[in-house]
Amino acid sequence: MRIIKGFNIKALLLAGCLMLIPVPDAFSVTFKVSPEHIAVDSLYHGSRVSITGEVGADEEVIVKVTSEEHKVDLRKKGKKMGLLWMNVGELEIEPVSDVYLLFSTRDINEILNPEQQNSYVIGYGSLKKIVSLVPVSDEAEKEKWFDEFIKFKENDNIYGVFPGTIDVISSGEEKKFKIDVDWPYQAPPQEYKVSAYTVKNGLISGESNATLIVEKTGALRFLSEMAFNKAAVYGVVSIFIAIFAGFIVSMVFKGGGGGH
Amino acid sequence: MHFYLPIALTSISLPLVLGLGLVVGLLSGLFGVGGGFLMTPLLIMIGIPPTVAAATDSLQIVGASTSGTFAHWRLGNVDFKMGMYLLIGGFVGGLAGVQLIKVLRLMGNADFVIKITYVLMLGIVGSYMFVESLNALKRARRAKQSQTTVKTSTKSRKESGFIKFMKGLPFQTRFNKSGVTHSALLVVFLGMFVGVLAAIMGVGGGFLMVPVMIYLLRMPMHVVVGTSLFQILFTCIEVSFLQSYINHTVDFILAILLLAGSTFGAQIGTKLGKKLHGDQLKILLAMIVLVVTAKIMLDLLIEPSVLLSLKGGH
Repeated sequence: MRIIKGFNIKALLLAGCLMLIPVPDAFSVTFKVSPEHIAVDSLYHGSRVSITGEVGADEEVIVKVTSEEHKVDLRKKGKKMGLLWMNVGELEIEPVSDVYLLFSTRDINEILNPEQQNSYVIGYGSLKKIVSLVPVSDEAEKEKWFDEFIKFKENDNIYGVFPGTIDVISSGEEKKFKIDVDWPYQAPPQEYKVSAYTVKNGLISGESNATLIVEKTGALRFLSEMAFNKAAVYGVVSIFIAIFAGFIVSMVFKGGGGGH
Repeated sequence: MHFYLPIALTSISLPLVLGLGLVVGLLSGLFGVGGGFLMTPLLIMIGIPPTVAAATDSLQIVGASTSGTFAHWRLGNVDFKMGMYLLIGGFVGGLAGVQLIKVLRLMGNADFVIKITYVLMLGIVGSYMFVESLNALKRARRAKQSQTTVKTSTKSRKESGFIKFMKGLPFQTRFNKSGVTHSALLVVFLGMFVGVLAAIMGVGGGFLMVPVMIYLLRMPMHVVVGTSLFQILFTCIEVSFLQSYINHTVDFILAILLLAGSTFGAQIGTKLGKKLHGDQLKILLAMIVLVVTAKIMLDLLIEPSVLLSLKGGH
């Protein structure tokens, strides 16, 4: 924390008094992600994540799930000789998240103005504005390959925009929102950022973030760490086990009286 | 029931992956092919990243070909001497092929060359084997009293000039198990040829090696299968290690699940192969190769639903 030189005592006292007066925190959303930690073991096939929170009387809700952004190297398919579909080049796209899931009470274009969508990177349209694709010759080509990128990710269930999926339940004056997310097994184990926004009159009225950790555990974690940290041992052990398995099965069949 | 894979980072259905292993293992035991040309695209189709699919398949082939080689060795169907010569050639050819790929990638048309080579080689090999085996079966039917052996079926008039040429080459060596005499240089060269093509296409090369052994080295079909498996075993050990060590793309769990199916499949295939005639085996393999060729051709002609894929693999 920075200390500002010459900061007078009256200002400090005023600030102290202001802190004692209860004012509604307009910029935070009370919400909870459950579970906060997903253990990925050998039988993992995705999970269910429940996101619940509080929302004001005339507010809408948007929930966004993303991970750390990075560069992705892809291959482009196109026609060669006007006839054959095959890889025709490479495409770099950055910065993009492995996962981009967007849930809302209604269509985001109906509840949030375009400037705010861009500021908070809410929706594919705003995502397209911040990513760079290389090589592309013009805006039309960028649009084409961005759309293909979204299709590629949606195919794996790790990108998606789902309007109308957040339920709002009123009990008296209080309103609560809830969404059950089918967490895709294709989402790689890592730390995810869950952002909840409340929207009023086309503007973001509140924002809070939570963390969802998806982590390999047990034997799966052991094997994965060995594959990367002790690659030679991993390779040799794998080969020996494969040979042993082949040999044992061969012996079993011989024992069964098949061979001679 | 599903299993989550630590390297592929995806979840797969257990019955599906066991079934895949069983079918490809069966083909391996039956025809002496590693099955990479079938398994790798099938794995990609069920959601395994291309690099992991190709690398893990090579480890799976280590297990399946161990099982198949043992089974064939017990039946006396492995020509170790021939296998070693081909292996030496294949190793050198593989290194040359990898360099060739690097040059093609720099020139920017590697993928086009790979796809076209793949389709052409599969198409030519499949068609030739199919027609030749069909003719042999027809001849056998016409001359019911004489049992057609692989040797007689391959002694076509067309090959006589080639046989003369082969006999004129230096370092003539007797391969007792196969019952043939060839120049050691020729065997190593053919191994190299398959090695280059296998490296370009990113496959083990069993489906190319088998026809080379049958038609150019004139080995009996049952020895061809056993010897091919022996050679594939060593090639795939090398590839599996390099893929684990350099690229970290071998998924041990996926390999074990595939192995559970393929080692049994290889045994069933070996036993089934004993019941089939050499030409019947050849015609079946030819049909499978032609179906795979047709599938690849269709993939080339029909616009894919997704025009992007992760970099890596082939």
